[in-house]
Amino acid sequence: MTGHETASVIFGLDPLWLSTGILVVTYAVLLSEKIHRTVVALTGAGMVILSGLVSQERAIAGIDFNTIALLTGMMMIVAVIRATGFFEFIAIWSAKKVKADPRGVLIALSLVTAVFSAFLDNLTTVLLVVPIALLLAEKLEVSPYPFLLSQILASNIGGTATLIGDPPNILIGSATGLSFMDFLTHMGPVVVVVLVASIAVFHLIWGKSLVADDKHKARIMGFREADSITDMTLLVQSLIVLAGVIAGFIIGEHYHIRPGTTAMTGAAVLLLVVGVTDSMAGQAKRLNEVFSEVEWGALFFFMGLFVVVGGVEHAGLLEILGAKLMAATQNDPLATTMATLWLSALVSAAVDNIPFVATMIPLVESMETAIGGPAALEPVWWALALGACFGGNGSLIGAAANVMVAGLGERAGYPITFGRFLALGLPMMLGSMVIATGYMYLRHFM
Amino acid sequence: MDCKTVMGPVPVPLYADEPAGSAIDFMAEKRTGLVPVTDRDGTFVGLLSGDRMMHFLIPRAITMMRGRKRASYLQESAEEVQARLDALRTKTIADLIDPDVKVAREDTPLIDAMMLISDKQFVVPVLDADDKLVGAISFFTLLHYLKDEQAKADAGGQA
Repeated sequence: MTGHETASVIFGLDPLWLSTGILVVTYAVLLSEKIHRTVVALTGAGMVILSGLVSQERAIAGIDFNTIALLTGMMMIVAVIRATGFFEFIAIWSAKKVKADPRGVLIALSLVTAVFSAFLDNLTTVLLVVPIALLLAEKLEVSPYPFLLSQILASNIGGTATLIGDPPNILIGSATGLSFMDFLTHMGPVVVVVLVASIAVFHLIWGKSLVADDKHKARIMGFREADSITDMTLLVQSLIVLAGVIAGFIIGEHYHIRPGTTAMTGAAVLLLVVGVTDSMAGQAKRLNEVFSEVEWGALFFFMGLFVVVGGVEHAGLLEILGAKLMAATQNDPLATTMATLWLSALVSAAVDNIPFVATMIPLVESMETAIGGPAALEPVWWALALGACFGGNGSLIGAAANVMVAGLGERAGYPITFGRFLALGLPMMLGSMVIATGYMYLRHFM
Repeated sequence: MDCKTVMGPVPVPLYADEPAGSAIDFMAEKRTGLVPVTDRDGTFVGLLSGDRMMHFLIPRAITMMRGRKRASYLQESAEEVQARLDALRTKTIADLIDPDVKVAREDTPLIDAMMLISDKQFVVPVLDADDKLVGAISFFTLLHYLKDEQAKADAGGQA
């Protein structure tokens, strides 16, 4: 029994066992994919509160509203930008820059997706770039599979680079206070290496089969990318605000301004700027359009998850698991870091990395004293982030973007089976983890 | 007032297992944008519409771009559009119909059919208890019915 007991747990049950049971059942149902994940998380959260594990006030206090605000703000900003046709413009422009050569297009789109995924969310990026990739493959009359598969891998790799690129990083950054620049400087170098290596592998695997004749290339070269921009004024306004928000992430840390505040303020400023000349009805219409693009299901999933994890944290389970991990690694920072890195990657390949990271955060926090303080713990945080993000490439269900691309492929008549992705994704993921292992060792333990 | 009272006759339906090419030729010849589709035994399976066909004539990737209203950057030739039309001809009608079309029963109140029509479904097929297509209601069917009723009322008044 721990020192975190609550006085009124239902039927006098042991809080440790009860909270563990709720967490395990929540995970099991999430894994079954029979019930929508948001419903599962909210039901689990309800159980945590109703069973008396934590009070409603404590549950709400446990929700990381910095994460929620950061996600919401970025979703709102992206909702405005996507309507301008900017993503289509960049994708087509980059394809034309490589003279519509299919191999060049594959590499160019991989880079576009990796960069967008670093600064926007992965789902939005693939949702906007993948249809263009399919269109280009259709016009070039080449197989779309190299494009679909490379998009998945590039989005997960690119998203690893920054604080805002992937939900695990947002969660870790919010919990630890690690800044945007901390992420960029620690994750950026290894992401560049992994991305370059991945592109070399893409070229090795598909380079010979991706060939198009001049007639088909001419179709792409005939695209007028400028026509994809629907509203130049809106585009300029949006990009200025987005640049301001990213600058705010970098500068804000010096003034104790959390990323959530920056993103939400940016979204509000963008709506103010683009709507200031509209009528009240016009502003309301635009606001509703932007809100309709916000993924409320994902936000409530996060909220439910915070409460469920808060339940086991309050009951002391994660402290116990953290102590066991430290005992297994004999409090050695190197062993703990490497164990966390590979555990995160393997688990994230098999299950959604968001609930895994949400659970791991308090567990890692609990190891701080045993490992020797915050400085010694920092590599463990980077290991968690690298493992969780790169691990998403390990299987088709490893990250939400994978499932999204598979769905888009299926709609277009090009289904990606679990096995087909595994045959490419798992070796690529393991390769990236070998690079990450070397990087972590050289960066933190040499 | 129910749908049976108001519905009009349906045009000759197409069969779901026919090649789509025959549907394309039929629609072009009759200049019709909406054709009911049934099984060989007359069971209703869906509607084949011009807007649905147009959806298939647009590059698939473009239709996947959520919220996009134009793709004018795509400078397509007639040859490319024709290639997609030719590809459509090789499918069956069943591949192209809208299976989620809302239907009415003979005893469905007219107001419910009117609400379906107002919700951008221009024609509401009317089915009997065995799911056989027995009629259809559209804005024009309703106008004809009301006009006939008015004529009957006028005739009764004069008598």
